[in-house]
Amino acid sequence: MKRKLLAAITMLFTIIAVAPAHADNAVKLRTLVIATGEMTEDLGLAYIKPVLDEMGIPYVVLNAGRQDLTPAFLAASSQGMACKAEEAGCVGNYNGVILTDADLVPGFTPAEWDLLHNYEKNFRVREAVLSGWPATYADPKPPHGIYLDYGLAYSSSGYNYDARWTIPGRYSKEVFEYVNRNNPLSITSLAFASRPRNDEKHLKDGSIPYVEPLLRTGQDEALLSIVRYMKPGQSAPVREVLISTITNASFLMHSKVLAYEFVNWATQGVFIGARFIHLAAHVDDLFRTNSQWSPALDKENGDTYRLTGADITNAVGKQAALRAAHPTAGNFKLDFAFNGAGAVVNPRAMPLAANWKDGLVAAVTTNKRHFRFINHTFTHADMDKSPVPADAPCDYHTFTNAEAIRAEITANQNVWALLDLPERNENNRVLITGAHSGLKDQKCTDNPALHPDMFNLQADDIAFDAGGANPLLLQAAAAAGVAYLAADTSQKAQNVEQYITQYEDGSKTDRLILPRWPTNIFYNVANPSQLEDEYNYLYYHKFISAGDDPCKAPAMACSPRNYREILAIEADIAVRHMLSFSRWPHFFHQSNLAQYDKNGSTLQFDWLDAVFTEYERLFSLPVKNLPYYKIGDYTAESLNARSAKIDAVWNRITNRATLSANKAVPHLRVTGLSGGEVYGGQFIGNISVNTKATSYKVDRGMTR
Amino acid sequence: MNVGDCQVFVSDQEKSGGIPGINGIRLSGILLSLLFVFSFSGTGADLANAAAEKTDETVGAAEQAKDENLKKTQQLNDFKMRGHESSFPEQAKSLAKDYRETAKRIMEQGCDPKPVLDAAAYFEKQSEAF
Repeated sequence: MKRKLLAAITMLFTIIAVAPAHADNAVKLRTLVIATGEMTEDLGLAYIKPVLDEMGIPYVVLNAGRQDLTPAFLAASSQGMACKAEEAGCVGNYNGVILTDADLVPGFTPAEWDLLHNYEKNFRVREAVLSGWPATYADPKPPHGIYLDYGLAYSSSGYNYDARWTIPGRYSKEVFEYVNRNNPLSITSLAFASRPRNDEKHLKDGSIPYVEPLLRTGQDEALLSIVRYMKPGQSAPVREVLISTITNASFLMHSKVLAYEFVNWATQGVFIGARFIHLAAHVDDLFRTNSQWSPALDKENGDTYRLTGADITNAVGKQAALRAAHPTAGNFKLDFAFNGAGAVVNPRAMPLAANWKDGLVAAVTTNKRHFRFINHTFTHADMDKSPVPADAPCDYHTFTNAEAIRAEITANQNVWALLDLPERNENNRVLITGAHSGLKDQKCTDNPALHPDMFNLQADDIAFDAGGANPLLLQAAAAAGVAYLAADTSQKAQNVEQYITQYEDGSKTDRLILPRWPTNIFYNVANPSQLEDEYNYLYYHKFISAGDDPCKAPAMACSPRNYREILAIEADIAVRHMLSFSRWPHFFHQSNLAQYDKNGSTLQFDWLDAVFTEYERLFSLPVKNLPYYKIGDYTAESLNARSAKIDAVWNRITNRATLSANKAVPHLRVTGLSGGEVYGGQFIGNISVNTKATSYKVDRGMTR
Repeated sequence: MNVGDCQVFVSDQEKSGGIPGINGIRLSGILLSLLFVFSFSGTGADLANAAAEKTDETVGAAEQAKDENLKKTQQLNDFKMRGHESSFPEQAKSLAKDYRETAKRIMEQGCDPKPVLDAAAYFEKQSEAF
């Protein structure tokens, strides 16, 4: 009896001694990233920073090479003083910790590790490790206790693993819910494969690392694991870590697949911001003709192609087939960027009259509910700056006043009304100029045939950020009520969502640039042989002819590629874009929607099918397919949210998060709040925040 | 100082997951031999099954080739994208330097730093390739 009582007392004292002390148990919704250097030095920081930025997550970076971790850095009282978790009013500064490297050698000292681990224990904060050596280190100072141990024993190294998912049931609703676990994940960078020790060796705080691999090599070695630090007699871990021993970088596909979970795990699925997967395909130049590439001549031969009514009917069927074949595609719709001049009887006759006798116009209007539309100017006119002097030779016609440009914009809006296309008002705010003209100055060199001496016609361009945009276009767009202007991500300084603030456009508001991704499905091809020929000309034969090595060019075509290979490469690139969580659409041209065989195959739907196939090999998350004006609205909301200082504290006792901001943020995406949209098994709220603090119930969606 | 008996390396026997006394290769060999014996001692029905298996093998080989192509495409684009990262040479150099520091720490702990030194060499090479 005495022995039992003694044991009970001992157990009670043990519980008291090891239970984390947390008076308020409150943490800010903010992530701490501990890096080994600046972005230019730390591959891991360069990898995770864009992910956090795109998702809109507040974070603080500690460069372990130059800064020391201090108690004040980790937790503060309401007076801003360093505090301990057990003190009333002490709030943890971070609800998640991300380490860009597993051992942070040489920047992090054993004392800093202790500080970090104690913070994680006392504030119940998780840690995610992006990469590195699965270290086990003992303090060189007596009593030489182990201060860092991931519970892993090194087994092999390599950079070519076919990793398989082995997520334990208990985590199935919590981590990597959205990946396709049936397929292996190719690891293409250096990785240390390890084996869980799961022995009784403990760290100096008495905790024992218990490892559960989530991703393993073919030899059953762990590449990515959850480590739970357990103490004898306790069922809950004192600390939890997600560790990857795979090198991760922003340019690696496997890293793109893994990225979200480092953040989601570390924050326990509760964070300001959100991620969605997007895909939109813009088919430019509807109602126009496109010049065609001649494989025989290795250049355009003067032939043109304009879609037919049958092509549109075929596209309706192909779109339905795409949705049926790909569960993640949902209600995917093509977006047609159209030029109204091609849909009217006489573009010069006022008032304009729709050309109902045109089979294409008839088919488009008959099937208008199956597609979406975007203004692409009336005639696809060039909007670049005029040459100086005005009579200097120029490959294209230019406008000399804003009113003429505005007429190009409004005439197309009028054709929208004539054809009674859907969502006209919403789309009056959006403009795609012909060939994205007007955002850089081409200096009048646009036609390769007129400049045989120029290897690269873009070499003399003046970029958007160097003053190349045409102020007349910006004035006209502002006057026409355009809020969102399309840009081409392949052009310098156009691959950023940004307000155009550096040009005076006569308006109190600024236009917002919405970048679009180009692809190598060129505007002047309608069938695979044309595409194959032009692709290989541009990326291989052209270099050979010039005596250069194509392998050294950025496109890296070391040998000619066939259509299937080109599609696979293009699909892989598009999936990388999708996994960056950006909303940016991909743009194509109407030629790409031509039927090229008796099955109604088209380059456009071949690309879409290849992209969804590749995406679904990796992911099961539904793909968002937004209209362009909504992409604009959401981008504006994100930019507003990112420019605000958001204060958010998650009290784990009440399980509520209290949010406020230094300005009005009408649309703030927050993951892990009760209600809102369910996406990937998590709640994603769209809340309004202002200077007055408001409290929301937290729901991590663990049962979804 | 003893860091968990320097447990960072796993023996080959553990690696293969084999039964003590029979290493992984031998066990695989035995299993393959058994498979060979059983597959050629059947009846007509078994031969039909064998034909079906042959088809499965063909499908399997096609799937494997497809996977290989996908991986090649992925590696090609990894390489291409890396070429666009102007900071990569410096990042790789920095990573190599950090791994050399890690190697020192591992040696201080009384363990073999070879895998980390190999990693350092790998990233040094990567930084010079661009």
